[in-house]
Amino acid sequence: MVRYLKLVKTLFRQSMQRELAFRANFGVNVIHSTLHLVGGVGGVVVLFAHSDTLNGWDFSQTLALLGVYLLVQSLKNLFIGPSLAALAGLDGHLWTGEFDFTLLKPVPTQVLVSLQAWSPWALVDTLLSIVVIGLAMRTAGVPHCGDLLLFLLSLFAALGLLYAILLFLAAVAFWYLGTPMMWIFDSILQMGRFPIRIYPHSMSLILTWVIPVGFIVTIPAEFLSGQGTAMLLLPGFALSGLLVGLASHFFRVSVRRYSSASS
Amino acid sequence: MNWRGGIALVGKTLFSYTSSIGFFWTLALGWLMGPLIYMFVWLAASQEGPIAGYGQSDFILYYVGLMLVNQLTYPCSHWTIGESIQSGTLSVWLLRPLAVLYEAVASDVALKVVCFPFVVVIAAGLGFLFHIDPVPWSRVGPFLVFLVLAQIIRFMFAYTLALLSLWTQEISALLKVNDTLVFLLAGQMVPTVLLPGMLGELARLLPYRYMLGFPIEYLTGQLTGSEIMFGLRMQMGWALVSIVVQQWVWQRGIRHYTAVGG
Repeated sequence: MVRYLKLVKTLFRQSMQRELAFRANFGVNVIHSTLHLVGGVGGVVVLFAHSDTLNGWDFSQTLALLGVYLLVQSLKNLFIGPSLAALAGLDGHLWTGEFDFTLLKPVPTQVLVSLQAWSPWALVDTLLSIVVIGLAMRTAGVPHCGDLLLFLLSLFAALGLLYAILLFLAAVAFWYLGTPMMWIFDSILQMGRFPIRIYPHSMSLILTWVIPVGFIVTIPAEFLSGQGTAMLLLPGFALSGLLVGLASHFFRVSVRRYSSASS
Repeated sequence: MNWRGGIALVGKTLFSYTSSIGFFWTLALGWLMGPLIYMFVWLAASQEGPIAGYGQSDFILYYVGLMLVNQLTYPCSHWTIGESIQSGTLSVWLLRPLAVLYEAVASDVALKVVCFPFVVVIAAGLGFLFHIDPVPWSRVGPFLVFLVLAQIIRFMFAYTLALLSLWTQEISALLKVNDTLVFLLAGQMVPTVLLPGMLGELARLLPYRYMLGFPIEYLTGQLTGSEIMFGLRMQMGWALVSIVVQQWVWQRGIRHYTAVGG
C-alpha cells in the first residue's frame, strides 16, 4: 500500500512539473473553468426564471445537483480521465506503441495505466464545484451530518462506477481504435446535469442501471439535499463493485491482444 | 477566385474525413447532447402550461431544429486554424495558388457533410417519436436564406478569432469565451425570447442569435412579419461586418506571420 502511495506521489509530482513548465496555461484554465461554470449556472438560472420547480426539484436542489455533477467531473478529470486518455485517447500509448514501456514496468499494468497521468488544474474545478454546492446549501439549509456521510459514501460508489466504465471503454481500444469510446460516455454523462427523472421513463431506467449516470450524479445529489433513501446506497455499491470487477477482467483479457505498434 | 482549386480541396478533405467517419460521428453525438438535454429539461418545466408562448410541441420542434441547424452552422475549423498558424503549417497553405480561406472552408464543408446524415437520422427519429407536424413548405425557401447567412456569420466570427493567433499564442481562451456566449445568447440553451430582461434585449442586438437561433425561430413559426424583417436586416448587417472585419484582420495579421518551427 505504502508502495502505491509513493507511486501516486511520484506520478503526481511528475505531472505537476510538466504543467508548471507552461505557467500561462494556469490563467487559461481558470478562464475555461469559470466559463464552464457560467454556462451551467446560467442554464439553471434562466430555467428557474420561468418555472418554480423542475419535476419536484427546486432551484437550490437543482443547483446542488449541478455542483455534484461538476464535482464528479473534476474528480474524473484529476487522474482517471487523463490517465486512460493517455492510454486509449487520440495519439495515446496504444497508437504510438508506448504501451510497451508500461508493460515492462514492475507494477501491475492496470494500476499504472489508471494512475499514470494527472491534471492538477482539475483541482480548480473541484474548488469551484464545492463553491456551487456551498451556495446551493446556503439557500437550502445545511444538510445533517448523516446526510453528509451518505453523500460522501455515495460519491465513493459513484467514482468506482465512473472508473469501471472508463476502464472498460479504454480497454475497448485494444479491439477497436477507430474512435475514442470514452468521448461517447462523456457525452452521455452530460445528461447528469439535470435530475435523470426528467427524461422519458425508459431512458431514465437506462441511465440508472445500464449507463448509471443516476448513481453517479443524481443519487449523491439527492443525499445532499436530504431527499435520498439510504436503501439505494446498497445497490450502488453492489453495482460499483460488480462493474469494477468486470471491467478489470475485461482489461486483463484485452491487454493480451496488444501486439505493439507497427514501428 | 480560384474556384476549381477550392472545389478540389473540398473534395480531398471530404474523402479524408469520410475514412474516419466513426470519429466524426462521435463528435456529432457530443454536439447533439446539449439540445437533447435542454429539450427534455424544458419539456419537464413546461408540463403545467406554456412558457412565454412555448408549449410542449414548440419546445420539441425548436430543439430538434436546433440539432440540425447547430450541426449545419457549427464551424470546427477555428480550433485547427489556430493550431496550424502556431505550428507553421500555414506556410504550406500560403505557397498554394489558393486563398488560405479555402482551407478553412474545405474542412468546414467536409465536416458538415460527413456529420449531417448522423444528425438527420437522430432528428428524424425524435420527430417520429414525438409526432412532430411537418413545417409548411413555404417556409423552407426563406429558411435556407437565413441558414446560409447564419453559417456565414458563425464561420466568419470563429475564423477571425482564430486568425488572432497570428499575433498571440493564447487564443484558446478567446475561442472558449466565444463558445460560451454562443451557448448562452444564440439560443442553444434556450430560445432567445425566453432569456430574462436585459439579457433578452442584448441577445437581439448581438450577432449570436443570428448565428443559430433566428433561423430556427423562423422555421418553427414563432416570429411575426416585422420580427422576421428585423432579423433579416440584422443578419445581413452582421454578415457584412464579419466579412469586412475578417478581411481586415487577415491583411494586417499576415504581415505579422513568421513561420514557427516547420
